[in-house]
Amino acid sequence: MKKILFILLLLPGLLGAQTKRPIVASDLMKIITTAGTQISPDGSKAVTVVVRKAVKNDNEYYYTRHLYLLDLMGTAAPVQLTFGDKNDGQPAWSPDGKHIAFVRADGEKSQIWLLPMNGGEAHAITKEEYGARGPVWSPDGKRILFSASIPFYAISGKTPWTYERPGRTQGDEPNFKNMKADEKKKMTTSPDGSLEEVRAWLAKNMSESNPRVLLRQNLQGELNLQPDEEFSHLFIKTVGSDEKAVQITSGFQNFNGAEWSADGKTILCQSRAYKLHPDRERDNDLWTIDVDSKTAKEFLTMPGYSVNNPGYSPDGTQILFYAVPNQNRHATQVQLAVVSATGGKPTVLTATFDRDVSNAIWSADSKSIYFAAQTDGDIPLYSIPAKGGTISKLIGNDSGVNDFDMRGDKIVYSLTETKNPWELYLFNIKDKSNRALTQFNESWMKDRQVSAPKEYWITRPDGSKVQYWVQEPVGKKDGMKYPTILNIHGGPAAMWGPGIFSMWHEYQLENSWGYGLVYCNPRGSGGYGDKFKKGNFKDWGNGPASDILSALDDAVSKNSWIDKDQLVVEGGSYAGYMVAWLVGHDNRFKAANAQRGVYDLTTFLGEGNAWNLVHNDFGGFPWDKEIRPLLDSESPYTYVDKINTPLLIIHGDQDLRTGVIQSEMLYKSLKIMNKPVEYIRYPKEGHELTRSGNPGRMMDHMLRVIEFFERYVKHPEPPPATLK
Amino acid sequence: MKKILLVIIMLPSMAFAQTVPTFEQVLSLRGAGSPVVSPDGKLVLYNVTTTDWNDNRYDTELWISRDGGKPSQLTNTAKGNSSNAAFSPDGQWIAFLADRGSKTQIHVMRTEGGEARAVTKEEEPISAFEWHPSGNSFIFLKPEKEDKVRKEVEKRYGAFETDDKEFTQSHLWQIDFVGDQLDPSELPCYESVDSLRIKTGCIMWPKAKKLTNGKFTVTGFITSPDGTKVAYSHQPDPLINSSVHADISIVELTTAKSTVLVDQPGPDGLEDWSPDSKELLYTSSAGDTSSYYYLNNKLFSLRIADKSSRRLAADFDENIGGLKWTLSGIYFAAWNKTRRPLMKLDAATGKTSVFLQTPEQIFGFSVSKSGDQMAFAGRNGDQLNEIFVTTTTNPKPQPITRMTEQTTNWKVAQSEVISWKSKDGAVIEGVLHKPANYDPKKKYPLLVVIHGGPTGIDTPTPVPVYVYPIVQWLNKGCLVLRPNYRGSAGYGEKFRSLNVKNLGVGDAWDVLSGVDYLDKQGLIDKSKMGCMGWSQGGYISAFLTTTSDAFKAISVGAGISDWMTYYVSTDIHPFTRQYLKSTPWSDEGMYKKSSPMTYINQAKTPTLIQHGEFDRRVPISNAYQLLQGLRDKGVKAELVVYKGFGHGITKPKERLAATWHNWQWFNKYVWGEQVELPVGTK
Repeated sequence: MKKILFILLLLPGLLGAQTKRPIVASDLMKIITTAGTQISPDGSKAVTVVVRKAVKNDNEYYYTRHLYLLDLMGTAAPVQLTFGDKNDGQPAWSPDGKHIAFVRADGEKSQIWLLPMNGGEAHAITKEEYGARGPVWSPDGKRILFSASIPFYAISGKTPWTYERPGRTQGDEPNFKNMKADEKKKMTTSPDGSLEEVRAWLAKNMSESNPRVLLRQNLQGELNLQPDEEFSHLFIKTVGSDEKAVQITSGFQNFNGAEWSADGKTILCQSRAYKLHPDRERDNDLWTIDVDSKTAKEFLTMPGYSVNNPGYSPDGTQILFYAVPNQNRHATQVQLAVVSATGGKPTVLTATFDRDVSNAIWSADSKSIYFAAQTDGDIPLYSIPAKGGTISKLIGNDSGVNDFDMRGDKIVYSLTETKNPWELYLFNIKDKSNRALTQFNESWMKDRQVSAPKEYWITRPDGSKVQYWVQEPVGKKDGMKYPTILNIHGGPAAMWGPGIFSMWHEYQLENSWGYGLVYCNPRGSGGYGDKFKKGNFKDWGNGPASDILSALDDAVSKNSWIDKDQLVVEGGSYAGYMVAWLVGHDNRFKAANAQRGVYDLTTFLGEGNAWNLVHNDFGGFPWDKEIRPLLDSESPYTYVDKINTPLLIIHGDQDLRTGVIQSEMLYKSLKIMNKPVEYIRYPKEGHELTRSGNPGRMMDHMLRVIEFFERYVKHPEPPPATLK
Repeated sequence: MKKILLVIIMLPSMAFAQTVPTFEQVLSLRGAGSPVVSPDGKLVLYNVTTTDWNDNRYDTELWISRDGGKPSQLTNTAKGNSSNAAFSPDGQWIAFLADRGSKTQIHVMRTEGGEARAVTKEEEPISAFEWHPSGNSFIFLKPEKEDKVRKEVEKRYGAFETDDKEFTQSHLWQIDFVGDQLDPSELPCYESVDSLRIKTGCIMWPKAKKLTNGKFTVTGFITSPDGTKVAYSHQPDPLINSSVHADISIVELTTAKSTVLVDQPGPDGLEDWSPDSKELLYTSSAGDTSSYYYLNNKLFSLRIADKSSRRLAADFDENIGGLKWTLSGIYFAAWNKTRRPLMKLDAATGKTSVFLQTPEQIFGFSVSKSGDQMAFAGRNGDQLNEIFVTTTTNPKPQPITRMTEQTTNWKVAQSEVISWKSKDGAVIEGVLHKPANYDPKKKYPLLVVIHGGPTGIDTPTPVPVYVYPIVQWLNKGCLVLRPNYRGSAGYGEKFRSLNVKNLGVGDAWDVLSGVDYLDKQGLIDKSKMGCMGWSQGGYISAFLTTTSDAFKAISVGAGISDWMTYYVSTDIHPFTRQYLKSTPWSDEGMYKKSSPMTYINQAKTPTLIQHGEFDRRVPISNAYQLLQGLRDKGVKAELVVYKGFGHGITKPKERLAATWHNWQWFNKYVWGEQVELPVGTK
């Protein structure tokens, strides 16, 4: 009897072992995501951008972004609308549903294209010198509002702020970048002439970025230096006319998040009349632009808040917007607010919600607002009455709503969960029906074995609660112990959990390679409220480190299969900092991997575009007497001589969010001390390599980390990912 | 009654302030053609050609009209054309040819919407294709791979070519069509590096299967409606003169086994399958190898079962071609003087009859699967080409395009067909164009514009286009005569043969008698006349330069100056042998009689010579010969060479240049006005 039972129990397992295969590195190429989903005006269809990874000629990796049409009425399979190696995005239905406007990068600059929905190929409707993005149809469907970034040199007039070139005045040299070839020829420039001619000669060299002359505070972009400021301006293109689009905003000012009023006479957007250089002013107000006269004026300022992305309610009476407190920026959370369409005093709706809200959309009856917010490792979809009140959760348990659109009773949303990294679903708020619209990942995931996260909470001595998860290695057998990875997130205000897409494949791959996995959200993480987010103020090191190690200790105590003698640790960005901090203070790890990290906080101020973190999170600058010692004591580099753990350091060549110099400092110091260290540099990559970098290098990155750990751990049996 | 009608027609156009179009406007006219009707008859695809001045090319894209509604543009091939549209048999897909960066490939889009994608990835450009009747595959034609030895030779010895020995054959292929085929780049297959070592989920492009092989080139093909075989025309090689050896074969799709069906001497041409796949229509010179440039071809129907042929349309006195055998009958369009009706052929009796004669000229047509619905391109004499739809059961053509509206505000050419007796009594027709504000009391300068061929034809049209600014000249104040001289198409085999052994001489009679006819009518000022033409029309103009002093100025476009020079250096040697019935070595006198150069000593007329740099049909030596002869005689002459062009000026900018050159030449010598070529951007 017992024997039979045993056989019965084993059978499904055996079958599973035969049919279900582990996730492998190249599955990365199969993961499909979507973006910019828009439901058609009649609610019968939706368009979405399908993002695929692709490779040709053996190792030329790239992404494709194509529009797909989804059937919301029947069950027809998604239909691909656009093709080729071009990148298509930001689809927008015309009010009559007969066209989709979208942005296509085909050639140098992105332009607005129009795809007829009654058959036929798309064609470009803009030919903007500086590109075009963000198409918004006018309510009557005759015009399209869009944005373009105009460089500083192409804007005439004087800056409203004091021009920041020492000893020089704006416009005191030829503006070569804004000249045509024959105009340039007419200019007198000489290295040997008068000071004016020499200045003209220097200006000409500068105009060819040889050299780059940097005058602004935010000199670093993501991949390259950005000497030229750009200003986002609004344009209106009349559909079906050959006439050039009309620019409706101008000057040294940014206009973003624009929307039409119902009568098509007014544009509502966010902007700010700069009194200081825009690098020094980080906030926005709400503005309106009269379409006919092109006059822009302030519509709403909200003391204590930066406000953005306004949206009219369908009945046109109210305006929804995001309000971000501008005090205590270290821990601000994005709030939802509404104001009457005629102006007046705004109401903050989510003051007691204590989470960051995102993706807010009006309901069809203008009575509710639907939005998403990171919470406890998930990204649920919520609704709140427009006049304020109880927030209800609609979707999101151990899952994350990445992107959604709503029309009438229908919500189309993309969801990440452990069993499927990304799929689109249709939810009906009336009858609560829910069905999958796509099988983009389901189609290849069917026969894959995934490891489910187990959720834990620990209470810290200060009473704060820290959430963490444990994932077992694939094929785990009772009684055996497994090497385990402590994986740490960056930010530091990011949040990890079962609903977060970015780590889905890496987690599963590490489990397939026979590793257990522990990850947590230590103090400073988002998704747990204002106080928790603030928890790492002036304390990037010890406080969060003890949360992380306590979670690890707790995990080991509750999961006997974790081999505490075979622990390794990895993390990127702030977590690169944390990995270096941990191995500078603790020798328990067999190997460690620090990616794109910050190791010296004073240097961070200069090397990266994320430099605001230094004064936001530490309350001052290196030249402040009381701050400098704090920055030193909080810098992992201060403890570099204590590092004994074999360390793999990784950085992207063009990462200007956290520059490479600190990785080099850490590497060279360890090298001089003859410590076990290896340094990897990825060409052409910035800070986002592991999330949106070249897919080939993403695979390389994951496997390089695993391969490094493999040098220092022993598996009880060959990991499933390596089995033939 | 007629007069009232005229007034009504004139009224709407009078309401607009009418202007004379610029040369650029004329050259920018959009043209519609090549309609294809969907299997269910509800949709019509057609080509629209526009002028792309930036890239100096003409751009052809597909347009669609649904249920006779307002058409919209369907394709958008950047820096290339989209053409050869074909509906899938179920109507769900539209296939077409386009070069989108990797040679010309078959592209497919959903009829209901969305962009197109390439469904072939051939290394050689696809020149023609058909849907297999199952809808699951395509039959297509493409050239063979480039000869590797040829490349090696060039690497070592540089470039050389042995005349008539170097060519690339084309063959038939079949490739599967998968509707939802993903780009394999987007789902890569890690056969060698997948850590699972399992080849799964791999997707691959379908691979084409070769249907024909051998030392011949396929020039055309039609798949049988039952999908079992493909009939194809072929010749020993693609050289132009090998068309005399064109034959017809058939290949079984299951076995790829070919059988010859028609192999008579002289050209044999494939026309269409009968709907039951039992018979095949073809045209043939029926063994004639020495007169097919001007004699009527003959139509036959071949029974596949026993390969027996029977003659059809024996009652029809014109060249025949472009036949479509549908469930409602056999249709073809053919010239009947300056009209071009759609004809119907009774398969049983072999008799032809007029099926449709409105509009006046019908060109390409397409018939739905049931045979009930038809779309065609056509026009009346005062219209641009429009696309029409009609039923075949009760034909009432309705236009679905409004191409003629492009000229609504223009002062366009007024056309009438006139006829006169030539020197030998032959009746010649021609199109007489008058200006919009024609004053019958005035005598106008006359410009004669002569078409090529010689088997071309001129017909009434509001905006005659090519390199002659006819509309602008008319509005300047002149008449334009475009004669359908002997040898022109549309007037029967006998008329087309009238210039045999009489080239030039008879043609000149026809032109000059036409001028005399107009003079006798009191319409023209004989002291202000010019003459021009391209190709055969250039030849006749050159003949008039050296044999007549009737004209104040002449323009010779790609014309023949000396038949001996022409005969030895053209690529179509048989043309001269057929028309002059001799070689220069067998009858030098015949060649002399017809050659403009023979009469160079009498030449007086200032002559502009226009020629394409690499013209193989009428080699540029003809231009230099005439130029030098005129220079030696002290006659004003200029040669303009259009760089990189062959026999035609095929790009808009050079057409604009050639138009200006003619405008300058005739304005100077007919009107005595000096015109500078405008430079700079407008």
